[in-house]
Amino acid sequence: MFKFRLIGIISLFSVLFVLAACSEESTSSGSSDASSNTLEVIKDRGTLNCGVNDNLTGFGVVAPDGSFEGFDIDFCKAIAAAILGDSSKVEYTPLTASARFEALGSGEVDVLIRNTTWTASRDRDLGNDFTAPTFYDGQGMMVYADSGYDSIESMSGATVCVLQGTTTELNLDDRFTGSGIPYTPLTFETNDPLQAAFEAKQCEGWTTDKSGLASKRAGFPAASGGPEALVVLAETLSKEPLGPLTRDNDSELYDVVQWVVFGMMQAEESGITSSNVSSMAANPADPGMARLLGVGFEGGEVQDFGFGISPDFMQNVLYQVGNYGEVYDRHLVPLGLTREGSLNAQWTDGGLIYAPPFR
Amino acid sequence: MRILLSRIRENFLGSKLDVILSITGALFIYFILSTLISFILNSDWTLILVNRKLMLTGLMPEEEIWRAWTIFSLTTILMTTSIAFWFKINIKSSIFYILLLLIPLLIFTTKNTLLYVLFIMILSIVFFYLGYRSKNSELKNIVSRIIMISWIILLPICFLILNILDGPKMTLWGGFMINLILAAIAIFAGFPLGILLALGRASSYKLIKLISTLYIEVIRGAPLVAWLLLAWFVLPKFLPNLFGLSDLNIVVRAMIVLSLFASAYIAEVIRGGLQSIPKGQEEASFALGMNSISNTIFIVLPQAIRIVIPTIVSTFIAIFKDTSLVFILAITDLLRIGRLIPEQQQAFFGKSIESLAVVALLFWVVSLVLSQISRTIEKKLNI
Amino acid sequence: MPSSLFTQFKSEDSIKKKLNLLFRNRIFRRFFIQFVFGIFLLLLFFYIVDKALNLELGFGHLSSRAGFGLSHTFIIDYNSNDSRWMGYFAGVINTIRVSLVGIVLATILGIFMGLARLSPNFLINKISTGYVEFIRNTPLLVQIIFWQLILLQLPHISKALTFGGLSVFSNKGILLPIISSNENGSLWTLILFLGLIISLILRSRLFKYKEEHVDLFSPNLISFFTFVVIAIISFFALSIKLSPSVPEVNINQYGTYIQSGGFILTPQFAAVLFALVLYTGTFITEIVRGSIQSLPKGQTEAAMALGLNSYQRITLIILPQALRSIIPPLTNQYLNLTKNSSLSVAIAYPDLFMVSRTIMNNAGHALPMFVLILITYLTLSLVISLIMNIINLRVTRIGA
Repeated sequence: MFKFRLIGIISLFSVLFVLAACSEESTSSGSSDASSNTLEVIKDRGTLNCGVNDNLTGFGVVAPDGSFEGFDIDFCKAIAAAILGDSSKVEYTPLTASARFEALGSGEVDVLIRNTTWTASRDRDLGNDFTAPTFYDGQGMMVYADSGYDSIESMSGATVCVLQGTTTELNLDDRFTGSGIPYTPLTFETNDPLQAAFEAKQCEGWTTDKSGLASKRAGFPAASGGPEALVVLAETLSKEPLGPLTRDNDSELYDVVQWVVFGMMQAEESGITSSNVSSMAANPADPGMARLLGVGFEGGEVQDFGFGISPDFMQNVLYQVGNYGEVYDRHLVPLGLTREGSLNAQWTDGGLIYAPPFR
Repeated sequence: MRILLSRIRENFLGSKLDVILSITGALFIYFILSTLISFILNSDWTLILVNRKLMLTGLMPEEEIWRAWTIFSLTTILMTTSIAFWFKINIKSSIFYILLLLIPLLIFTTKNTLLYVLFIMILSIVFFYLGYRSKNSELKNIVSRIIMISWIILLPICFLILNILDGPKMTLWGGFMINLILAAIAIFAGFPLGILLALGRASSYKLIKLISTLYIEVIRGAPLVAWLLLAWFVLPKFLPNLFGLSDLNIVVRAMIVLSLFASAYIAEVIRGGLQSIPKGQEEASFALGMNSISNTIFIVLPQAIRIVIPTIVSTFIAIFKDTSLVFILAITDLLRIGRLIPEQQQAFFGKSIESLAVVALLFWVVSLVLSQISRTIEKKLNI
Repeated sequence: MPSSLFTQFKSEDSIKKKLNLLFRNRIFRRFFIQFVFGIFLLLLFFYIVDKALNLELGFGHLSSRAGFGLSHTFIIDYNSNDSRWMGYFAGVINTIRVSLVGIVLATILGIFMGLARLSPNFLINKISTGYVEFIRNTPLLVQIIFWQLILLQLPHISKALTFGGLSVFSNKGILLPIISSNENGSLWTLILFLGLIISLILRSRLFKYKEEHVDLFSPNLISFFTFVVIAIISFFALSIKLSPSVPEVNINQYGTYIQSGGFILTPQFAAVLFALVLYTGTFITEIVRGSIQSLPKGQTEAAMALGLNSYQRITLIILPQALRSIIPPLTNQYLNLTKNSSLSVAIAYPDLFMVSRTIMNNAGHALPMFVLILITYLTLSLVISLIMNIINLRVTRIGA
């Protein structure tokens, strides 16, 4: 009986050695063989497969009737509106933090818009391409107000709850171990046991992106003390620029996603909203606005940037979804994440939201 | 009175050890029951009422729910007919079945669904009566065949109902329904595959035996969660680009993996059965002039399967419970929903234990029904 | 082909008759079927290898710095500066730890409950039946989460329950007093273990010797004495200092409660352990019950006729015979338990599966990690099967 198990192990070991022998890190990591044109695939298919979060208030949640809504969800809708003309032609695939990159890499989703941080290793090692960040966040630590912690140093010896497979886990370790502060991490696969553990004070701290902390804090049940019982420490453990990503070597789709995002930012800067986009398109105020909306200026030529989609894609986007500010106000302001003074204000207001020219 | 006392003495107080055991046992039962009862009475069960639909059918849109109701009614009617036809009906067992099927039903009924439920119950009673009457009539054989064929085509019909008229896409199927469907597919597909593997492992062709054994040992060597993850991440890279195979959605891949996994375990069980058939059977069939294939299909397999039916049914139950592991693929099955409700819905924050208890109850009911069926089959076949 | 077939082959003229002749021959037929099957397999194999070479393979990424911390490390001292191999190894140790303890406890529980299932005492019987029916039919994952939630109900560490100051019960874990030693402690434990095996072997040898040459010494005493001598000599050779370690809860300067001393049973480990033990225990109960029931009733009757009380009857007559037939299904359950420990991915117990998922997420390379996981689990299964096979051989030896 175990003779066969032995055979099985030996054959697997030989497979292992063969694999190891061919192991010199291949240059095309993560992506499949040739560069694929996902844009054409999407147009053929007629729907956009969007990888999202179904469990983060404000960014991506699923309602009991099966519909998705959130900040990231709106960007999915915008891309679908741009490529397919209809923001409802999206198929949402909820993904856990630890599974999202493989889902993108294996082709299960076309684009991943799931509050994902742009890092060097994710860009190269995991074979992804990040577009401009849609939300500049930072990692924070949330503790109980009555615990008296005021800085990371004071959390020496504490237990911290964190989600598995995220940059949060690695940043947490960098911060604590790098400063020689002893701590114990409790790594969970999903948020529900994490939340239960935090509520029972099994761990003293909860660390994730500050936007996530804001939403969790806002939803903290009154029975356990409500939002006032929690406080988010001032220190930001890391930079967390969140944004959409596509696969490596997928330039057509990458450019479309990139410029839809920029278009929404530019629209807000130019004052175009979902309510006035039709009148603006009929009567653009300046050549820049005309190029953005894909119409001619005072009877001039329509400029097609060659994205592979119809030149007036921004009109669909703005009409069906809205500009950057509308999307932000719709989903993130209720969480208490105000734009004034933060990195997410327009560049004209001192923030980092800046769209390159549509020219 | 004296008889009662002597009975008590016999059962509980036979010896010193018995006394200690009885006292400890009684205390233990008291402790468990009191915690349970206080838990049931003190918790807020509106959780279930609000989330019925979510737990049973997942994220299916409201307008597609009629499909779930159709499937449910078909299954219930078929089940009551089968029970009436094949099981021995006496007062004790009928009360048991009625209670068993009624409790979850009552939990999941509201005034909107009352009509549906009444309709199903009336139909069930009608078919129950029909089944009971035809048990002893001349139509027995025909009715028996009709019922068996109905069970076999139930699964394809369910798929038809779910997909007909532009049905909801597979990733929206969820809740308890997806657990049942995944289990049914895994069993239906895994069973014939398991038979083939068992025959392969027992065959005298060295190569086929080697491959079958390798397959079974490797599949059984790793936990199911590892295989499911493999299906998610690695399988798509290996599928050919034809027939849209490389675009299979996650639910179909979960079905494939569960079937392959089930087949390995079923193969082991059947192999045990095959080994216990006396070699004389095979020799007799060859003496009668049958070739190897007929021998296998008509003589050896029926006997082997008959012997291991109890073990196979317990493997089926295990497969059904293992469908809860698809949480790792972010498929919204019953368990995942049960864990998400206390977390996402404000009203039910912190009620994780209640939510989990309902999930456990649903799994438990189905497993219990399956094991009862197994026991009845055992009795019928006189094992 | 045998020569007769060959000559017949040559003698037939038409192709159709030749083919007919070939396929009628049993040996050729079998060879042909396996040949076709083999070609099919080779094609499949090449297809898979071709696709596999497109993926990133290789284990180079496992040598780089891990960067993540683990909440449970045992035996080895792991921190985030070690390589990922060390992290994986720490995960393997965690899996072995929970599996080993789980196997031992589940077996004990299973045997007790199996006996209870057959007890004439009504209450005990029904308790055992209820236990089996309830726990067996609920998915294991549900039970693990359930235990984690239950253990969260323990009081917060600031209000921890202490029993006479000797142990601490809180939702951060259960601490129990233990005897601990200085550095060479684990080495000494290993030597004690080896000494135990040596003295047991000595004992059985001496018993055999005693059968053939009647002497007046007692093998038990001699082997015990040997064991004690080994223990004492190694004790002084390694200069072990034993001291009782009582758990303490202190507050550090920032107000965090620090637990130290004693032996800690973390809630995560406890949750996985309890769920695994109770779940596997039900299956072992059924196995034990089945094997006891399969013993001829005459054994019980003879034992009662001989005047043995029930304790003697069970330990001297029933159990030794029943244990013979339970080893193979028991092995199966042990393997299941080891594989089911992978479900601790749901709560924060870092077994090997969870660590490999973290590595996969940080560095990609899914396929090599899977092969590694597969090999690890197969090796663990092999080791368990081997040990159980040895036990099986010893137990089923006639007259053992």
